[in-house]
Amino acid sequence: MSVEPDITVPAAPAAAGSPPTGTAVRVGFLRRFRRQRAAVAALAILVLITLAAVLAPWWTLYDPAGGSLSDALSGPSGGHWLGTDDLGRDVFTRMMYGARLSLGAAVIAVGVAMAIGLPLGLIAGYAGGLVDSAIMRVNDALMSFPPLILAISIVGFLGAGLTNAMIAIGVIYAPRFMRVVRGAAMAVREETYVEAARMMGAPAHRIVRRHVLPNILSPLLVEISLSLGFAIIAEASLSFIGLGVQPPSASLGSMLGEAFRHLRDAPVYAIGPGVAIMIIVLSLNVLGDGLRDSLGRRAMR
Amino acid sequence: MGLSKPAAGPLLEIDRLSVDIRGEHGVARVVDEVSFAVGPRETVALVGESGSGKSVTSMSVLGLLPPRITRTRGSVRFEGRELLGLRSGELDRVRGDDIAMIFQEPMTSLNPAFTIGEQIAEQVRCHRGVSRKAARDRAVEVLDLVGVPSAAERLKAYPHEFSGGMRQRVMMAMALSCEPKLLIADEPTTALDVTIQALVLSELRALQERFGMSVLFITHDLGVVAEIADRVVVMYGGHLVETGRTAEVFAAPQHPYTEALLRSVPQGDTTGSRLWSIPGAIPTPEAMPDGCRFHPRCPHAKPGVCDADEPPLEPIGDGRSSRCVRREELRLSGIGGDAGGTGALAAEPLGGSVLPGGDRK
Amino acid sequence: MKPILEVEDLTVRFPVGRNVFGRPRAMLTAVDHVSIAVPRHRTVGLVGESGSGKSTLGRAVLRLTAAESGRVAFDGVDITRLGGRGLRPLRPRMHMIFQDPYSSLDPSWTVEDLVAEPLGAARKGASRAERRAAVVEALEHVGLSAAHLNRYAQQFSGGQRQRIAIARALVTRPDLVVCDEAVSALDVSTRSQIINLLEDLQRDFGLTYLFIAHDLALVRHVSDWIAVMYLGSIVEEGPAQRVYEEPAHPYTRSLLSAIPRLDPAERSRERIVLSGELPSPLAPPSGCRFRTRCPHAMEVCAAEVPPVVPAAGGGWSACHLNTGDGGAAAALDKSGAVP
Repeated sequence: MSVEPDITVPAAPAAAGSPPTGTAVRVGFLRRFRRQRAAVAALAILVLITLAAVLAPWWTLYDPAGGSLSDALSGPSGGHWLGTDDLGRDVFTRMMYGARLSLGAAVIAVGVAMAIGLPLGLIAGYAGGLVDSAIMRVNDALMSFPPLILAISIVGFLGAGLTNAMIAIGVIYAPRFMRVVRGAAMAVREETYVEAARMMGAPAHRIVRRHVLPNILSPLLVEISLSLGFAIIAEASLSFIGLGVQPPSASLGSMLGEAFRHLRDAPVYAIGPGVAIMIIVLSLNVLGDGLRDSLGRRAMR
Repeated sequence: MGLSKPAAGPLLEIDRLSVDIRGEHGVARVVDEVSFAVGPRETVALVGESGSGKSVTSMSVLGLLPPRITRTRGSVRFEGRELLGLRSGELDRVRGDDIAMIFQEPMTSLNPAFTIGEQIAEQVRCHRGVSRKAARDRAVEVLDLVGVPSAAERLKAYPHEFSGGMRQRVMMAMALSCEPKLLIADEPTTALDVTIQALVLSELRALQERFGMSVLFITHDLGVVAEIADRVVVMYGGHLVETGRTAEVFAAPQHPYTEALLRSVPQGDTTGSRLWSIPGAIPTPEAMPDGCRFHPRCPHAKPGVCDADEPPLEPIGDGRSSRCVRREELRLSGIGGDAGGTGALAAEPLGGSVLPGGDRK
Repeated sequence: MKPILEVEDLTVRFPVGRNVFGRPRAMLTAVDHVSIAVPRHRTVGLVGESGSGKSTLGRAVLRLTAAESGRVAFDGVDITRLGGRGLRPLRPRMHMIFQDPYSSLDPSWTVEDLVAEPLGAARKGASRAERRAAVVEALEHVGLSAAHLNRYAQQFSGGQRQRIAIARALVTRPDLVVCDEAVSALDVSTRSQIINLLEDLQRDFGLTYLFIAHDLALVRHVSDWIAVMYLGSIVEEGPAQRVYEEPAHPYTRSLLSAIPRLDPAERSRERIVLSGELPSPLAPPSGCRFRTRCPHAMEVCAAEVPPVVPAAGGGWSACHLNTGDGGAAAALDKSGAVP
């Protein structure tokens, strides 16, 4: 329906007399984002958790690696808020350290995914034609593997360990990034300003860098936020089955794995890491949705 | 066609309609106390540039404005029945049954997943409750009516298989399938080529004659207004600024904005001369000037008069009204009037143009 | 003086649909053996319905679309086969203003960067201050100012955006500017402002315009010469006044007849109503392409491509009615109405 034009008029061209505001685009985004209550709350929770995790060595009371066996698998108490694990270590402290590892690992994984997916997606999306077909066929092949099986085989090949697991997850997520970037780049390629740039003689690499990239940041940001959530779950899954982080270090996933073994003796042990994973992933997803709603093309106009 | 006689009662009566829209810069009044009526069998054109409030006015008639961000006041009566504040179920019955609407972009108004036939039949069944077969026959009938060749076969076609002009005719067929008493057409020919526009307009005229329906035609193209409208309502900055019979308004406009619009259209041989243009830009609802809303761009504006009080909309006889305090002193030129004879070109607009240079010499 | 732009026998074809092997299913001929010349400091108007190929011709002229055959010469240099590197020195000398001022300006760029964009290719060594000075000067020519440098295009109305687009076209002082429906998306009052601005700039900077539009009244106002396109071919061209007042081709007549008149009294005038719509360019009619919609179609129209016949008053038309001795005058009366 042609509802848009007249209704949006009051908001848009208020430019003539007002002083120059260079950051108006970003201001508009912030205003829209602020209105998304849930996303703002999710962002706050994530910031809090990240701070708590990163600063864990300075504020937690116990040594994450040391404990006394006499305290093993005790329930929550004033001294140990979430109880202790099978080696008598404080679960809450280990959770903070675990969250630190999990978050770091997710960032690495998404970084790897982006390093592979972003350039390839840009090339495929902007160049189109045969280049696009070739890249996308490889992409399809990668995406047709069950992700966890692929991760297990990559880790099996590279050897167990957190870094390798993260690289594996990154490789698995790269095709998703490629798809998102390619789709967005294809849409931007059709915009008249790209044709205008070609008309002015700008070479392809310049057009991609200066026109395409800035205009696909929105979907990219949304994808990053959602992928971080997936990466945390993927890390947890790999660590749960022992392919990720190696003892004595712990991530939320490996802690959940340990807790699982003692589910009958100390059911409370599993609650901490489980809930933490849930809250982080949920927050990332809500944040991603919020970003999508305030960055989307429709919201921009 | 011809000029309509003022019949017993108007079909559609809009009375002091105001619409507030909440945008990013706060609440803005985009339609301000607009009143006009559409009589039976009459075609009324609602004219204005983008931002004048013409589309919002037409959408508020059918309750198509998003209620979350708009507030509508005043009254919209159809056959004496108040439409504002009707529950959506009741409105649905009015929409399509008594009042139909067609839009500028027929592609976005048609569902790409269903065939043309299915969509028209659905419309018919919805409002008439007839059998599937009867609805299908009716679809063929209306497609035939609006000049879609080999209508029976085209029923199975999807919207993307039609060209722009054909899609607009399909939209018209859909709108007409229930023989509405009033058709609201929002820039229906703006996206079309002139040749196709001429076809669609003549089709519309023929249909109107046949069904005796009324048309509220929203457009910014004065040429189209001249071709189709019995009466014209000119809007500027959310206000109604002038209304009257098309021929009379075009021959002797009573508001400088109408004059400016008419003169902005190049007519005849203008080679070598500058086109008449209105300096500056239409004001936004947040920055409405004091006094007459048009005065900063008006070549006839007089300091101390036009920038002081908001001029009222005054009836000037013969169904005409104008919102200009200097109306009686001015000799505004309409079509066929001599181009520079009113001294309009020499006058400087109050407050100067919003953009320096370029626009006037 | 040699025309700044010469198009000779230009043909542009696009592949339509691709089968599983990546081969096109059919070729669409958008521009079919078109020749046209644009003299310096003049405006040539190109009119036609959507699908006539007028925009494709404009794009091919600037090498945004590759030509299949024929030749485009800019200032005497054949640019048809030049590569990106060879074209680069010529790019600052030609520019295009697009129809949609909303999508032709990158929303993530400031006005300064937008207007400076053509300079990127033109003056590599220019300092930031020099660039800014050039940008401000261009902005001032179009009625904007240095105060607008740091804003984004989104903050401007349609007319102001088109001014930014014009400033951007002006910044390299080009010889040729292709205006592709440059004012079609604007409101009536803004439209006249932009047209006046374009005319001022042409006078001040000696610009040459190829003015592509579907609005015949506007094209007549700005153009010295008008070419009328139908389904990929030019069917008539000539001095603006002559084409408008004494159209020699039935298609031009029907286009003129379809323009709404401002005078409600003319509502009852006779119109030439074209039957049907533009045929598919995938399968253009044989002989004269206009014959399927032409009110004067004869047998010969299906059989033979109409020859180019010079028109009295300048230019030419391609219509069988105009061949032979005075057949044209007999068949087409001056009023534009069909007998």
